[in-house]
Amino acid sequence: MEVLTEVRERMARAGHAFEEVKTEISRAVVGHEELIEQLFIALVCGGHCLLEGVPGLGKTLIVRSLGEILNLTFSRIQFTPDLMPADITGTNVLTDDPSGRKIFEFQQGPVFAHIVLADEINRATPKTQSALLEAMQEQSVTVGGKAHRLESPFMVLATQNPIEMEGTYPLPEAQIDRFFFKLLVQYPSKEELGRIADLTTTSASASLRTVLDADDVLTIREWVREVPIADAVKDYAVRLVLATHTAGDGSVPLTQKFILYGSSPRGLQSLILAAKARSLLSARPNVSFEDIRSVVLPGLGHRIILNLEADAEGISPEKVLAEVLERVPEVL
Amino acid sequence: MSDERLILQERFSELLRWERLKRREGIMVTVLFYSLLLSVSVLPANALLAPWAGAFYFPPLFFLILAPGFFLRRPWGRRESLRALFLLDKTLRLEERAITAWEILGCKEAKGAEQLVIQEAGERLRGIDPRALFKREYSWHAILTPPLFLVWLLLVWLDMGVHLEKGVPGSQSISVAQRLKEFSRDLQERAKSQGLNESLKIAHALEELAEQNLKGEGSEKKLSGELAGIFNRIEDTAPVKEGESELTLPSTTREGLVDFKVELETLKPALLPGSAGAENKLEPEIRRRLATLPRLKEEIERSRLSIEKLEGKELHGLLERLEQGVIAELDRRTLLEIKEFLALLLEGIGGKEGREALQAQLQAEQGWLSETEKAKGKGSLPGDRPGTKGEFSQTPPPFKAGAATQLKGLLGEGKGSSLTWRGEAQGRESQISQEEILASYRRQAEEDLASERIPEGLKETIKRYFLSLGLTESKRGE
Repeated sequence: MEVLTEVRERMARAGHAFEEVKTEISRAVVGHEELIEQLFIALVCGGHCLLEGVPGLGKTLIVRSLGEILNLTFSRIQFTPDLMPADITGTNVLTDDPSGRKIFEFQQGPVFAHIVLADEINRATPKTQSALLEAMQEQSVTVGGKAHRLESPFMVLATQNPIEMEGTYPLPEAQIDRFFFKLLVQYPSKEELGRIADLTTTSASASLRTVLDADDVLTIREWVREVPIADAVKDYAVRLVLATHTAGDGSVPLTQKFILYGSSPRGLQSLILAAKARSLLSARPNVSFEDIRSVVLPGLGHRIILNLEADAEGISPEKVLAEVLERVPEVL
Repeated sequence: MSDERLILQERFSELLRWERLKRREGIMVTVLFYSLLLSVSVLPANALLAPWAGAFYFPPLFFLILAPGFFLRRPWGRRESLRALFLLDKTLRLEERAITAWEILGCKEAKGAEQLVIQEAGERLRGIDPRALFKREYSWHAILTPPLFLVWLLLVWLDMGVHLEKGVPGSQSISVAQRLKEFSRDLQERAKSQGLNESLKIAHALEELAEQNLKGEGSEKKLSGELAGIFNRIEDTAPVKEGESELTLPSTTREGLVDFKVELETLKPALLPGSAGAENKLEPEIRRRLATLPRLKEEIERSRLSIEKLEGKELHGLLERLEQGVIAELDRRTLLEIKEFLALLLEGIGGKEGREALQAQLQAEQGWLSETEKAKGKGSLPGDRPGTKGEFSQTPPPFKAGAATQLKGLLGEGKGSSLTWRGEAQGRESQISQEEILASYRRQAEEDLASERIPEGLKETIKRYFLSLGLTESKRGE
């Protein structure tokens, strides 16, 4: 019985933490409840997020607010074409030691923080973009032949503007795949716009309080991984991923016609981990089919590559995934 | 083991048992539906089957054939169990707690979060009754099966069996047997009235065979085999061969023979031993009566006997011989008629089978004949079959309307036939001129020549013949 009480307590704590984060962020950010939930899920799963949206929708504000309320170190990197990899990772600089000898000392870059905001990531050159690859995957940085470990939790939140493509460098597929979620920042509704106006054009300033620290995040991460998932539910996730491949088992007609490459195994990991986190935050001890379905779009949308025919016909990954969800049965 | 684990295991096994039963029932109803559908479909073919293979055997037979396939194609497995549990989760909105708990129950040990799943699932499933929750649902097979069964029953009750070849209702063999029975009855009556012993025996045999078949004791194949046997027996038991008869009367029609027999029977009582006519000298009355019987008179004259000098004994002996001859000839002709009837009947029974049986009998017969006839040195003689020249009369094939009929000719001297006209011809000239008759002949000939029935090679010859008729007549006129 003690075990059950402990598990129930965990779920309650995780749920409470999430509620607090939502409440606190809502003081600074209007709307975007779903986006905030997905950001939090990515955080407790140890993933990174790519936020895509037109300028002025509050991408940077959301990320900065999250950094503030989590009591985690936060750094922001504004990506520009002349940004160099060392500007991100840090570099060895020549200094004097106490005895007066010249030595190289590693000067940490902005990547050495718990939450890194890579603002307008597609404005940097691929060389600079790829400086984040190791940090995102291995959670370490190698400079001058020496690996430097990044602190846990580590999360990269990158933003990009989908409409202004001049002077931008599309992210390489390898890097896109490393993002746990790709989140689309939607335009606010009428009511939300009114509230934004009230919040930003008056003298009242929102000071955010810290609700979670690094240890809390790491503890919730552990709990997420302990959420049981039935084989049948896992099989559903596997079939969904396979359905995005043209030659996969149970691939749907739209997939066969418009997809060039399907989701990588990282997509499956994202689906299952995110579904586990979602069930935990819903105070449910097991993963449901609905959990899987709800994370398909942010988890797989950026992992499928459409062909030219899809571009010509205006088919988006969201449309393909919607059909995949419709066609793939939960239980065979 | 905790209470929740026990409760869950009990509920899950109860649910799966119930779902399994429902599925089994569903498959059986589906199989039953298709069995009935097939039974209805093959009902018209019922007439082709043996009497024991009635329409009532169709549904169980198809059921037994189809059922293993259906059950093997859709066996109950893990997937089916998962589906049942998925349905349970959906119905009770358990958010996959049932499926997860069922899988956890399969493991030896449950961790903290897993125990909570079992606990929560147990609480939610404690009071459920799978039978009440998931009631039987009737598929379209189940809905359509009762009406289909009624349709099948109705068709069976109406004895819907279409004769595939002739389109008459009822079993073919029964129809053949009925025809055979009717024929044998008529034959018996005629044979009895005319004293045709061999024909009477055959008629009895045919009636017996027909009776057996009508009782359902024999199959169609057996019937055709036995008919072919009787066909062969007629050959063996023919009382007199063609040409062996003592009769030399030109009238060889059946009616002529019957009339002749009547004449003989008319005179015979007067010549019975002990009567006045049986004396050496014939009574004038008998002589007078003899003069009124043209066939008998003609026959006596053919025998080179004088009616005036004829004695009673001689006439009696002659009448006896003639009567025997007439009966034998009538018997022979009746047997030929039976043969014709049997040949038609055998061709009618299942077409191929009947013909095969008949051919088998004929081949066996030919084999026997060829052996014996070859021994006599006649094996290579022409005729209607090897080595049987002139000894077997040829039975003309049945004429069919609209169909070409081929007659096989026999080499050697043919059989003659004639018509006897009773009454005197009018002694005056024809009312139709010869030219008109010739013109009518030519017209008919031209019509026939225009048809395809006359071979191209012969058309010119026929045309010349009819033209020559007119020429000959005109030359004669000159």
